[in-house]
Amino acid sequence: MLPVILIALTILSITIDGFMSAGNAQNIMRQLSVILIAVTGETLVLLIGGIDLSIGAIIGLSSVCGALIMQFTGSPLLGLLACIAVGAGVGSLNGLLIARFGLQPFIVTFGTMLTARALGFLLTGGRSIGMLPKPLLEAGRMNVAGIPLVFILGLAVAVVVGYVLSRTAFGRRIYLIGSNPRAAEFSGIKVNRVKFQVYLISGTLAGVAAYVFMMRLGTASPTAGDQLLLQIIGAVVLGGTALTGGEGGIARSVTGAVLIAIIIKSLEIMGAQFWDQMIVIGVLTALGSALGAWLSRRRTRETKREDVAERIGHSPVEKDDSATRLRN
Amino acid sequence: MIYKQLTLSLAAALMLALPSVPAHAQDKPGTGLTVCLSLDKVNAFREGQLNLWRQAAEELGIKLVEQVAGEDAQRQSSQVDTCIAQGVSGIISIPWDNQAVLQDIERAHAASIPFVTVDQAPADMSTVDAHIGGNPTADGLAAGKRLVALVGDKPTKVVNLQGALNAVNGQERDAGFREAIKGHDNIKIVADVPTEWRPEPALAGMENALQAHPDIGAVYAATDGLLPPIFSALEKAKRLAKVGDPNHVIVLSIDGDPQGCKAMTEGWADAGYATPIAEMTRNSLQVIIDLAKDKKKIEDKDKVQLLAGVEYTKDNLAETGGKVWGCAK
Amino acid sequence: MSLAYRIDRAFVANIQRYSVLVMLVAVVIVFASISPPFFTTSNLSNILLQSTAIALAAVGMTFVIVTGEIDISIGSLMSLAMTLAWMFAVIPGAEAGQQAGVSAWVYPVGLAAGLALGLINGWMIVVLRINSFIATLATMFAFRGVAWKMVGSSDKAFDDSPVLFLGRTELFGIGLPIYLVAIVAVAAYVVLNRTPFGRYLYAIGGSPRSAIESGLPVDRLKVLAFGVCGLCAAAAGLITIGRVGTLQAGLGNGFEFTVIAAVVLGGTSLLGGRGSIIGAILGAILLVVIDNGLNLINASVYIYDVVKGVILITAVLIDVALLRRLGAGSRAA
Repeated sequence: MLPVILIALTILSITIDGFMSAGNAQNIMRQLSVILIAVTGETLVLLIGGIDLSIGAIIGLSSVCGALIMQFTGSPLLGLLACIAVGAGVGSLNGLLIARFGLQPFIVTFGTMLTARALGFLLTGGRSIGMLPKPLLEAGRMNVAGIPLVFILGLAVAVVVGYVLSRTAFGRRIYLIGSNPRAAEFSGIKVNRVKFQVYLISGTLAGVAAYVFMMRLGTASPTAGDQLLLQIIGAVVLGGTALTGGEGGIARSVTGAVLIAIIIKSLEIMGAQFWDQMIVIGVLTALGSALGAWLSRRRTRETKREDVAERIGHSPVEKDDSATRLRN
Repeated sequence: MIYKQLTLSLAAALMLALPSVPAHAQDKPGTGLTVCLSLDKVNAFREGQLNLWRQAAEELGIKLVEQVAGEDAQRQSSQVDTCIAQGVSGIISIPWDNQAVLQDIERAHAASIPFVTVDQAPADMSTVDAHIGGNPTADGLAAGKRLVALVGDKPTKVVNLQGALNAVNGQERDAGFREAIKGHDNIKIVADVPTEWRPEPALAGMENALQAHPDIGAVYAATDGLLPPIFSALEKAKRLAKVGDPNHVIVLSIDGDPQGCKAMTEGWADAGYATPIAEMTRNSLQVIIDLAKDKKKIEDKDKVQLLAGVEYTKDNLAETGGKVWGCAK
Repeated sequence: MSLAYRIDRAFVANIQRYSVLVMLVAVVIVFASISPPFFTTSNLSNILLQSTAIALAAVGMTFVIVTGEIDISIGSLMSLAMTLAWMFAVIPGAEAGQQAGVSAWVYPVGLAAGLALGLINGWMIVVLRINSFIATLATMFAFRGVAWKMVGSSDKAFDDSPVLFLGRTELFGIGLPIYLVAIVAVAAYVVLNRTPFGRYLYAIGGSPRSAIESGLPVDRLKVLAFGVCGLCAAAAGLITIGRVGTLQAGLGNGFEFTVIAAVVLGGTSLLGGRGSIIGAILGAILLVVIDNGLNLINASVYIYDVVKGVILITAVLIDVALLRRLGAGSRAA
C-alpha cells in the first residue's frame, strides 16, 4: 500500500496546484490525528477476528464526559483521565460480554454504540460543550518543528501500539488467536483474556482519541464520532487488515488512513462536489481492498496454503458451534 | 432532468434580478472576490440555500468555492483549513458544531480572512465577523402563539415533531414553542418525537401518537420536510381534513420550503414560518464584500442578524408569498 | 449418534428464534401494563405495519448472512433504487420544473434497480474477491453519491400517485405491506428450507470448504443471495416511500444497522450457516415495539437508544445462556 501512496502523492503534487505546500501538509496531519489513534484500537480488534462498532460512540461519550469534568474542575489532566476512564469502561463492558459471555461482537458493540451515544445525549441534551481550558486549545494549535502537536500524539500512540503488536508476546498471541483460535487455545493461550484485553484497549484508545478530538476542535459532542466509525473501519481494511482476523498490522492501517486523508484533501482542493467525493471514496475503497486481497492471495499461494479456505475467509474448523462461541 | 429544471429556474431568477445588476460586468460589487462556502451537510433545505447563494454570487460577481462536511465536525474544520490555505477572500460557514466553529474562526482570523456564519449560530458571537441566521426561538414562539390564538380555551393535545436534538435550530424551535404555550393548561404536548429532520421517524411517531391519542388537536413540525408523513398518518387515522373542517388537525411548521408552500396553498396547513433564506444568503455575501473589498467596519446592528421567519397562512399568501422561498416558481 | 442427541441439536438450532419471541413477549407485557392503548388491535396492526420495511429487508439480509457474508449498503442501495425509480416514473408537468405525478413504473423500475445493485455487490465480492463488509461499505458511499449526483438533494414529491397504493391501501383493515411481507416471508422460508438453493446457501455458510469440494457453484449462489437482498431492500424502499409520501436524499440512512440487528436478534449467526426467517421478522417487530411503546408513554426522547441497546444485549445474552445450557446437556448425553 505504501507504493500506492507514493505514486498518488507524486501525481497529485504535479497536477494539483498548491497540494505540496507546508500549510496543506499540516492540514492533512491535523485531520489525521484523531483517526490515527482510533484505527490502532480497531486494528487490534479486527486482528482477533472481532469488530468494534462502538468506537465512534465511545469517542462521543468520552469527549462529553471529559469536557464536563474539565468545565467543572478546569484541569486538562482530569479531563484526560475521564476520557480514558469512560473509554476503558465501555471497552471492558464490550470485552466482558464478548469474551466472558461469548456474544457476537457485532451485536454487542452495536448495542453499546446505541447506549453510549444515547448516554451522551442524556448528559448534554445534544448540545456541544465548549469553553474548554485554554491550555488544551493552545496545545491543540501548537506546532512542534512545523508539525502539529496533535499529529505527533496520534503518531506516537500508533507507534507504541505497533511496537506492542509486532514485538511482544501479547502481539503474537493476538495474531495467533486471529488466524487460528483453536490452535491458540491448544497452545495454552488464555484466548478469552486476550480478547477482553483487546476490547479494553480499543475502548481506552477511543477515549484518548476523544481527548485529541477536543484539543483539535475545541468541542465535545455526543455525535462527535458518528461519521468516524466507517472512516475508521474503511481505513483499517483499505490498509490490508483482514476482517477475518490474523492478518494485518498497525502500519498498514496508518497507511490506509493516510491514503484516504490525502485523497479527500486533494478532491477538496480540486473543488470536487461532495457526491463526487463519495463516489471516488467508494470506488477507491473497493479497488484498494481488491488489490490488497489479490496481493495477499499471491503471498498465500507462495506459502502453499489452500486457496479455498483463503477465498471464503473463514477456516472450516471455526465452523462448529463450540468454536464459534470461543471465537466470538 | 433536475439539472434542466435547475438551470431554467436559475435563468428565470436571473432575468428577474437583472435590473438590479449594474450595467457593466466590471462594476459588479464583488468582482475579484473568492468566497469559500462551508456547508455542514446536504439536504433539501441546503440545496435551496445553495441555489440562492450561487444566484447571488453570480449577480455580485463573486466566485464561490463550495465545501460540504457531511455532518462531520472534523471534516468541516479540515475544509476550512483548505480554504484558508487557498487564500480565499472570505469564508461563509453553516457550522455543523457550534463550538468547533470557534476554532475555525480563530484560524481564519489569524490568516486575516473574514468569517461569517449563516443559519446555525456559533456558541459565542464575540469573535465571528457576522452571523446571519433565522431566529429559531422567535419562530417557535410565533408558532406557539398562533396555536394559542387558534385554540382559545379548548383543550388541545399536541404532537411535537422535533428536529435533530444536536442542532441548535432544532433545540430552539422546540424551546420557543414550549415557552409560548407555557401557562396555557388547556394545551398539552402528548408526544415529543425526535426526527433528526427525517420523515421516516416522523411518520412512526405520528402514527404512534395517534394510537395513544386519537383526539390529537394539533401538530407542530420543526421542518416542512415532515409534512408529507404528517398528512400520511392523519389520513390513515381518518383525521385528514382541510383548514375549516371540524375534523381538522392544526398543522404548524417551519421553513417555508416547496412542500410547506404546497400544503398551505392547498389548505392543509394552518400557518408556516418561512426562513428568509434569500436575504440570509445575499446578506452574508454582502458582509464579505464589505469586509474584504471595501474594508468597511460591520456596524453592531448588522453583526448579528436574526431574521425571524415570515408567518404565512392561506389567507395572507398573496402578500407574503414572495417572501416564502418555497413558493418561488 | 443417539436420537436424544439429535433432538437436542434440533432444539438448540431453534432455541434462538424462541428467545427473541420470549424477549418480544416480555417487552409487550411490560408496555401493555404501562400503557392502555398499547395492547389494542389498532396499535398492534400499527406496529406490524411499521415493521414491514425492516422485516422485508431483514428477510433479504438473511439470505446474505446465512452464507457468512454481510451487506451494509442496503440503506444507500434503497436510496439509489428509489431515485432511479423516480427518474423513470416521474411525469413532467405542463411547465418546466413542475411535476405532474409519478406513474406506476416506480414498482418495476425500483425493484429491477434494487436487484441489479444487489447483483453488483455480489459480483464485487466474488469477482474482485473483496470481503463483503468492505465491498458493501464501498457501495454504501458510492450508491448514495450517485443518487445525489443524479438528482440533487431536494425532496421529491410522491403524493397523489399510484406509488401510494402499496403503502396506504388496506384490505380487511390490514395494510397491504403486511400481506406482502407475509407472502415474501413464506416464500423465503420455503426457498431457504425446502429447496436446493436454500440448502446450498446454508451449506456455503456452514462449511465453505465442503461446499466448494462438493462442487457447488458457490460464487453464483452468493451473487444470487446478494441479488435477493437488494430486491428486498428495494421493496422495503417502495413501502417506505409509499407510506411517507416523499423521497428525501437521506432515505435509508442508518437502515442497514437496524436491519442487521433485527436479523441477529432473530438468531441468525453472522458467521453463516444458521439463520431463521421467522426470527428475522420477530427481530424487526421487537425493534419497532420498543419505539412504539416508548412513544406511547411519551418517554424522554433521550432514553430510546439506551433502552434499545440494553434490550438488544439482553436478548443475545439470553440466547447464549440457553445455548450453553443446552450445549452442555447435549455433550453430557
